[in-house]
Amino acid sequence: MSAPLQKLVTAAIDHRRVCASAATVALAIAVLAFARAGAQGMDVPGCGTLVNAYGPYDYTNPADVRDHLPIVEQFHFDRGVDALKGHAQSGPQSLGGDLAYTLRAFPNHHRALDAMGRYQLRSKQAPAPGARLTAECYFERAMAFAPRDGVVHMVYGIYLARKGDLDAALDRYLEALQMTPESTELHYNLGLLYADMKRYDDARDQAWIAYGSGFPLLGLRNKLVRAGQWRDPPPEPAPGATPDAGATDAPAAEDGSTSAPSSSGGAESQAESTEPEPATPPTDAVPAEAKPVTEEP
Amino acid sequence: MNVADDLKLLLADNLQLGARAQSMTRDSALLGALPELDSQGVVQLITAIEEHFGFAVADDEVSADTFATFGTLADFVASKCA
Repeated sequence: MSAPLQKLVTAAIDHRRVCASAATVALAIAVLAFARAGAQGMDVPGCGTLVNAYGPYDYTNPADVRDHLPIVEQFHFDRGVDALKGHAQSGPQSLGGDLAYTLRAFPNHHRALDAMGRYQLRSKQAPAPGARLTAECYFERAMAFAPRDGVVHMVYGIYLARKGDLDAALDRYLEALQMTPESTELHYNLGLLYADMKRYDDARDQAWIAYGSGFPLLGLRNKLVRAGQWRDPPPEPAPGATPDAGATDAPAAEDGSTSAPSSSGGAESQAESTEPEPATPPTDAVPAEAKPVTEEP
Repeated sequence: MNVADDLKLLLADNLQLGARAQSMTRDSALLGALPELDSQGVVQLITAIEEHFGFAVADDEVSADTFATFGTLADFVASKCA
């Protein structure tokens, strides 16, 4: 479903809730039918179609989450499925099918995507038993369905990094960074990846951004310390101080750090010459990130 | 209940560490040493620990260096179970 259509559908549903006249219900049904027809054209090359008997619904759309997620999770994505042990009722033999069902109904279900990736890595089969499609396919379908959902790209990057495909993981993370530059979790994972790639200056830049915004996990710092590559961020200039030629303000530093990866050859020298200040934490950053989770609905 | 043994099983199951989990000692580094402990991996592990041991992990407990080593994590779990 295209983004404009998604907005239309959402607006129609919201409007229906406020003013449930026959006319608005008819309009909503017409818009939904039009959207469904559009989805029928959404084949994902090599990965089937997004058309599904139930859905497809958008994991980032509050109305879809409210109206359709509970029943999907109740029957197909409980804690046992997320932990790859199997649903409480259907058991481990249905694990692949439960994950597949969840991702057909909610193609961009972040936790289910992560679980599908883990399931395939654990099973060492592609597709994993019962999953019908490969984990890569489910990620491709998610990106086709919700192209502006940055968390999908991040979770795909995490999967690729776990798989050892570091260059492909970097591509996903950088794409995610375009969509969710404020995500401290993304900066943290990107930093871990840079450290694995031995791009320590870039890794340190990401660490400073993540920790400057209150990200709680010390793994990236520990990783850089172990590699002998950790440095504390430079002190912030005193208020009112005249910046010298080498100083940068926080927004410029963040821009520099995020653009550095795109020119891999010059990344180190750029990072050295424009050391970023830690980003100013948003007021809700610490509570939201204190227990690291993706953007759950 | 042996916290260390249970914790090794949880690490093996949730991070797909396999035999590596069984060979862990108190000094084995976790965060920053295990590639599997990206942000999603930590969430997965915390959820599994909460379910298995029956307590909730508070936000500020995550921010402490609880996950530095297998020993610090085992101590944390033991203190919560006490």
